[in-house]
Amino acid sequence: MAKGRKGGKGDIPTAIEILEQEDFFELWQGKLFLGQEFLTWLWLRTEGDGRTMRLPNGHEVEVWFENQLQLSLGSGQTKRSVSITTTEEPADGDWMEAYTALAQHKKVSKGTLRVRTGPSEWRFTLSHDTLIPQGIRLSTKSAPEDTEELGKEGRVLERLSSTAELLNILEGLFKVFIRLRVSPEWDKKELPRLQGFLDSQK
Amino acid sequence: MGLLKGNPTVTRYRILDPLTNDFTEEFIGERLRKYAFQNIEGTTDENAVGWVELFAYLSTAFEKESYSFGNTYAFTMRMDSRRLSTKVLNRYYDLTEARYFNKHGRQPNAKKKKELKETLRLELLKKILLTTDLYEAVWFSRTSEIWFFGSGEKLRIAFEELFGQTFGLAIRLIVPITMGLELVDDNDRLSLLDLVPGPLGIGG
Repeated sequence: MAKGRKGGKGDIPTAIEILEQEDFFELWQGKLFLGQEFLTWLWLRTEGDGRTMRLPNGHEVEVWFENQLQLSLGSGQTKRSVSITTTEEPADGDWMEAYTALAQHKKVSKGTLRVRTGPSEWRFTLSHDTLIPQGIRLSTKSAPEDTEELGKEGRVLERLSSTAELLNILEGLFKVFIRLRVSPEWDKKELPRLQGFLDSQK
Repeated sequence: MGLLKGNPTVTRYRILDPLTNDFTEEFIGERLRKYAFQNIEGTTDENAVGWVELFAYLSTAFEKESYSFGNTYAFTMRMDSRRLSTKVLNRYYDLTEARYFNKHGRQPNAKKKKELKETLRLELLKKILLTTDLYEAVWFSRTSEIWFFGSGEKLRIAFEELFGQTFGLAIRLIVPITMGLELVDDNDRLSLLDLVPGPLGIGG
């Protein structure tokens, strides 16, 4: 598949060059599994190792999946998907059904997440196909009584800044995953580690 | 719900074309005015889509300060629509047909039925109030990235078409694979393209 692509200056095409050369829809649909693997990895990592995740820029953030999780087989196969709803803060044992679904080769296709860093916290839903954060409950630094003083533009700037902070964190998390996924470490260390956690949940 | 209020949903796009020197603040304003929202109040049009100002959705003047904020441009896609349900149309059509029968002593033929229905549809459309939906877009020119505060395939297509017509620029949705291509090291980019689904979580 990688053969025949032409780059600009060197042999390796840039991301933009690839997007110009490839049929976007085909590329997107052919790699939908990446979103599912990312969500599944993130969920297992945060369940197994705790909520703290280190981003490539060195910052640490807290990430956890809230009470809703959907697992399905291959991309787009919603017929045999499993939707799991737990209490607001899932406790030990609440995800047993989800672990069973994983054993049936299902992967996470949708989840409600929370991300926290310092005083900022966001809640949103992510679907594997686009990883577009939906219905973001934004964290704004101003107290509600101060928002009048900010004015319309100030309020928008604050919301924009909060959105940017979240998108940077999500991109950072995806970067950790994708770099691991294309490295030999994935098969050598990461998969056995995740498998070890799953075995411990039996 | 979008940038101005509520819990937003953010769809990210990358602009593929390099921006030429033509893309000045003035040029962007001109293009926004050219594809500004056109009011369909008092017409029988069922849909209208176009740009309005970020902070004033009734305005399409696009003075520089309304859309240009340093290296960032922000504006809103306005979509107005009026919907006539089949149920309502059929109810009033039955009345129209009854009146026709009383007047002519026979049912209208197929051609006449079609004509009566279309006339009625247009009359009813004029009486239906418009619904307005607003979806903000923020364009970061330095990173060639756009955030569209809306989601769903239909909406995305409407935005992509309007943006493309307005600025003549090719944009691509940022999805897992495109994000990955931008985030991996150069040497791993082709490996990423060759990846196949892995056995994550086969234990349990």
